[in-house]
Amino acid sequence: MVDIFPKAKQVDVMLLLEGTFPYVSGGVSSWVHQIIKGFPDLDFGAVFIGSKADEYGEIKYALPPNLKHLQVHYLHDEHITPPVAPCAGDPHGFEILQRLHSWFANPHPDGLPAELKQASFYLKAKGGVDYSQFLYADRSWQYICSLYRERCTDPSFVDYFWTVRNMHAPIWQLAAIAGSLIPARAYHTVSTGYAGFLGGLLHHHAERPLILSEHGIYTKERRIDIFNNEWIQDNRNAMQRDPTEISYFRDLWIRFFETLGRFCYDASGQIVSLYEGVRQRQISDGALPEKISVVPNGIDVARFAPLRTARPAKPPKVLALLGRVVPIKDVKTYIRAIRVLVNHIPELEGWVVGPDGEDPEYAAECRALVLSLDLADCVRFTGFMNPVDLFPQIGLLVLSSISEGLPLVALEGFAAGVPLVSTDVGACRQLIEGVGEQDQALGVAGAVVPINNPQALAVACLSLLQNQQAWDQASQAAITRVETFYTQQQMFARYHALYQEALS
Amino acid sequence: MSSLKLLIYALLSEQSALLSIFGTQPVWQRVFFFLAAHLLASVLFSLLLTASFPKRFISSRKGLLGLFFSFNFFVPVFGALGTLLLLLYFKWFLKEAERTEFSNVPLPPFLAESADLGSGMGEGGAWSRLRTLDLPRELRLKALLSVGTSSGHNSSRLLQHATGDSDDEIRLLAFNLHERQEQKIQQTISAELHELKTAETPELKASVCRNLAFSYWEMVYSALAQDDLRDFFVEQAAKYAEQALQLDAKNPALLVLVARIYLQKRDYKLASETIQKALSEGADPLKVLPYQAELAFYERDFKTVRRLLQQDATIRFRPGIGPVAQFWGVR
Amino acid sequence: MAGIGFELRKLMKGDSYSSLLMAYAYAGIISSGPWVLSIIAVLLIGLISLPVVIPALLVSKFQTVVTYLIAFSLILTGLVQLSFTRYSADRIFEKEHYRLLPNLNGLLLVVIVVSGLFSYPIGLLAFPQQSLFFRLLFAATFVVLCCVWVTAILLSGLKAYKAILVNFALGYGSALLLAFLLRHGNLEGLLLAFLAGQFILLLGMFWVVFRGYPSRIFIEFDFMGSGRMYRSLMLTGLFYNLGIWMDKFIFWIHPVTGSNVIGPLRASLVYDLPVFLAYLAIIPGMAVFLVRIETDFVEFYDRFYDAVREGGSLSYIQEMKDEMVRVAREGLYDIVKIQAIATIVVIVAGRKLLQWAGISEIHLPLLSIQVVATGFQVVLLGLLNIFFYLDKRNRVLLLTALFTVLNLGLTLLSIWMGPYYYGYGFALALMVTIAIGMALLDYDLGKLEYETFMLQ
Repeated sequence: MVDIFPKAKQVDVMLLLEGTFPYVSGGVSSWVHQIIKGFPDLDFGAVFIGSKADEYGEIKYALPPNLKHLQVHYLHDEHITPPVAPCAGDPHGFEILQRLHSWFANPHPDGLPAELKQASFYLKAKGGVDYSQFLYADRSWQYICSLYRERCTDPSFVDYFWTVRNMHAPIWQLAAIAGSLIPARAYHTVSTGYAGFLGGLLHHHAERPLILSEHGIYTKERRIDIFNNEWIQDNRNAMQRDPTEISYFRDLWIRFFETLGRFCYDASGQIVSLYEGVRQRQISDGALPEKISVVPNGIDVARFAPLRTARPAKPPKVLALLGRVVPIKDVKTYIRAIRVLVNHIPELEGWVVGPDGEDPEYAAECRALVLSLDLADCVRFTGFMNPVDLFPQIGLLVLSSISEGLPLVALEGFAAGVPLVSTDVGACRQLIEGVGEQDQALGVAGAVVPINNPQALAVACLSLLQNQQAWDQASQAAITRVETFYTQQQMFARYHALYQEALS
Repeated sequence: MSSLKLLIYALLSEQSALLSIFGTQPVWQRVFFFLAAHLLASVLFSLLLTASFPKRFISSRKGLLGLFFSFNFFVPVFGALGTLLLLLYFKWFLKEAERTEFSNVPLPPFLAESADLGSGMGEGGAWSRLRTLDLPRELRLKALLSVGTSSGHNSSRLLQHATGDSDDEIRLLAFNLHERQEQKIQQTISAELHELKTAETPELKASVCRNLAFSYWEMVYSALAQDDLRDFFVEQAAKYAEQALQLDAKNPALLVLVARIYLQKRDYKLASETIQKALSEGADPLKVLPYQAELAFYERDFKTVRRLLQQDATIRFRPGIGPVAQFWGVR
Repeated sequence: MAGIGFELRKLMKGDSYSSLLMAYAYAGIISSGPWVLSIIAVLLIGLISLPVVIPALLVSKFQTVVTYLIAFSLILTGLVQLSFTRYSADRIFEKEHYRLLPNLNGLLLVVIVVSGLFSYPIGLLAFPQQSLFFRLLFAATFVVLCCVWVTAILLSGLKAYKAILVNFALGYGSALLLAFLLRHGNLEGLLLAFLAGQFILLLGMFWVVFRGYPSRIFIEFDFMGSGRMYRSLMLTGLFYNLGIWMDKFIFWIHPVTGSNVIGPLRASLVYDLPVFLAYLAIIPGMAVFLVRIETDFVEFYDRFYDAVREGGSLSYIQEMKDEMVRVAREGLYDIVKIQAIATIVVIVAGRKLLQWAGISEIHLPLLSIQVVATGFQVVLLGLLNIFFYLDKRNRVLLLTALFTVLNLGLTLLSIWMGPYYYGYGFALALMVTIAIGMALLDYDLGKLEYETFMLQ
């Protein structure tokens, strides 16, 4: 399928998106969609960065008319590998690379060599290190060998070699993109990682400001992925392996992503976090506190308000987990909680509302779990459902994720009057219990439970479902909270100010 | 044409070809005769050989024909000789036995890399480190990894505890490790359930039910489930054990499992009966000993507890029950 | 077929001089056996028939015919020698042993047809003085020889040296026996005996392949697929064999040094005998080649690539590479050393040896320089083999082409300069080629890890 992408000569705000809008449906993508639609008089451009073309299906969102430019890059597909050409390597360029590695060991904001911030460093053969030199130069070989000798604790050299190569190859691809991108007046990225690195390069190259809105902590999510990953080798044999030491290669990947994050923080003019917890984390990861501001997500309350009356007076005995079926949402704990709940409320139904195509293996495991817990009649995987259709049919919204930011679905549920039972991750506690005196006085809009505890989750749901008064209070608290603090208008106002500053 | 006739004609052709070499006619005439007769002989020989080629060789006819023909044609007489030898070989000496090939397995090299000493941290150390919240994150991560990567109910409990930790990374790592342990058993259960649907014979059903019972019990025993979920798993284990027993009433291991289930549900009378049944079906008395001791304990019959524990000389070295036995005075 | 290295190791385990000597003797026999046997057999056949055959000229006709047949069959099959060895090595690496037999048969088909199309017209037309029987024998022997080389090359690629030796002994031995029985048949009788011997040799070797590498398919043409046989290797094989025979050809064709023997075939009375005797003197060099390059070097080469592939640390990889380089250097120098000794022996005791063998002393100076040259040839063989292991096909092509051209030019020059300089052309061509080859090898080995990892 060939998508027709809009193309323009220049835009006002260039969005740098990794693994989100428009190919992946989810909270962050919806937020991006919302922002573009919220500023119809600004011209937006978007660069989508994915891993492989066949991992993404079609575009999941209708592209707004003010999205004037879209380009798509796949970091693991684009084999613009230059032909094999042995060479010696530029001495100046490699000397700068050596300095980079001492900065890794001792990161501080000004230590990063200025040349590395320029996209041209990665593209020229003289004075810089271009992709062909990185791959084939003799100096590059010496560089990798010296790094291995100094730092690697894993015995396998061939694995180290290929890890380093695979890790760095996207850098050069991103530099090529930065060098050839159409001009924009400001750059806006929604995560650190590769998109953040691209943003940093663009900032230094074009000398226009970069805004970072961090929705999830990229490095944290990569750490989770990396722990999960079996493909990262651990070559220590039984004699050498100390199980308390993480495999060197896992460590290497984690530190690499941390460095990308630091680069992005350093280059950003404004850093936006969704809630205070993120701000703290960003500061400890190397962002300057002066740059950070907290702008929570906001939603269009008016769209969901009519649903409050569409529901029957007694809340239906239906729970829904709204989200993609992926490990980070921990659908399994939710399913186990349903098992406990069904013992008390036999007619209870638990819905899993969200696409299950992103991690088919995990989705299969969840379905197997449903069978082995004998819940085939109670648990439904409904796939994607329009929230407007969903909210009148459910009694409680459940989020059992192990990691969240400030979930939009929670706010949407609040606007429709649905209380939230959630794990204590991200901003969920702040959403349910309130943050600050004024907010807390509004009441508790659901319940907060620890992660990976089906029993506690079930008990919390029970107490709300079986007590009409508690439910009503929670619903009211939810509605008031979202109308006071989390409206779209508030968010747009903050971003309007941010954009004004950046575009001038 | 039968092969014998073919052979005779071929030999005759070759012979006449030979004779024509030594004739007295002009050279080119002799060459012509020779070529004609030899060509015919080669064709016949190659047809003969291709026809009698053993069936176990998969080969294109054209290839075989080509090879045999060219060999016969370009090497006169000796080619025919070779053909005859081959025919003899196929007729009399070729056996059907196939050889299997053995491949070498090289020894892995001895790596002379130095090993770092281990962390020297046992379970107790890990617990205490995890409980101390203001230790640096690296140390606590190490503590988690040192115990969490093994399986068993102690590690499960540790991981459960760590999942409620205030530090994000420790929580996530603990969750991850916990999920991994759980997933192992979960996969077995799913596979078994799937097989149960397709099992036809009672023996097959019995064996699948038995495996299911043990798998569900494994979840309980490794403390991978708590409270209501644990009760659910106990019930499932009991249900499948029951089914398996109906189909195969004499399995001692299964009976011991059922006894343990009853113990878990605190149904002491049934547990004791089932243990006796298991023993009579041939269960290893030494394995059953701890459960009998536990039963006696609940009945407050402490003398029996001690007596039972002393019946096994090696019990004090076994993990889990060992310290208990030592407490009860087993020397 | 157990690798030859295994057996050599067993012999050397004794760790004393005598066991070392035994191992080298064994290696010498195995590596040189085939060549030596063929040279000796051809000479002996001549000797046997001397009393019976009149004139003695007929004997030299036989030897000339056989020499030409061997030379041209080697050069023609040179096109497939190296490329087919590489093809079979690739198949073995991919554990497709069942492809060896069928593709050998396919290749034999092609070789038979091509060589037959060559030899029959030439045989029938180029010898108008000879009987039809002779002409047909000539053509048929050429075809069989080509098949023999192809099969032998496969067996030596499979390191089945013992099998080759045994079959050569069998083949040439029966040729000798038949020559004795047929000695009254003049040239045709001797040639028939030779052909019969070759036929037995071919059957024997084919039998070894057939039993050793069973397959369910009998004939296949997979080797003709694109990319299966490397063109550079085909050219290399051609140039290598051409280069070795080039100086002999020049001496035969040149009016000053060569004379007509039979049909269009010419020989050189002054050059031939010393050259072939000199080849007998490389037995020790070949022994060292087999032990040091084919066995020791291969072992360290394997260890180096295993270290790379299977996750060895960088220091270990470099250690293995250093070891490999050391063994390569030592191997080549050992060949030089042993051949130097052989040369000294020939120079010092040459006169006595020739007298003892009943050969005129005129040949002594040429013999001495030829012994040096053939020694160099073994060094070149070692060098080329190392390049093959490192898969530097373009280097080998360069070196063999260079050698051929140099041999051609320098031999012509040596003839022009006069009898004192005969033989120096060949020796000098080899020396220059080796010098350049060693320099290239040094450079390549220095960059080995870089190339292995970076220039994938």
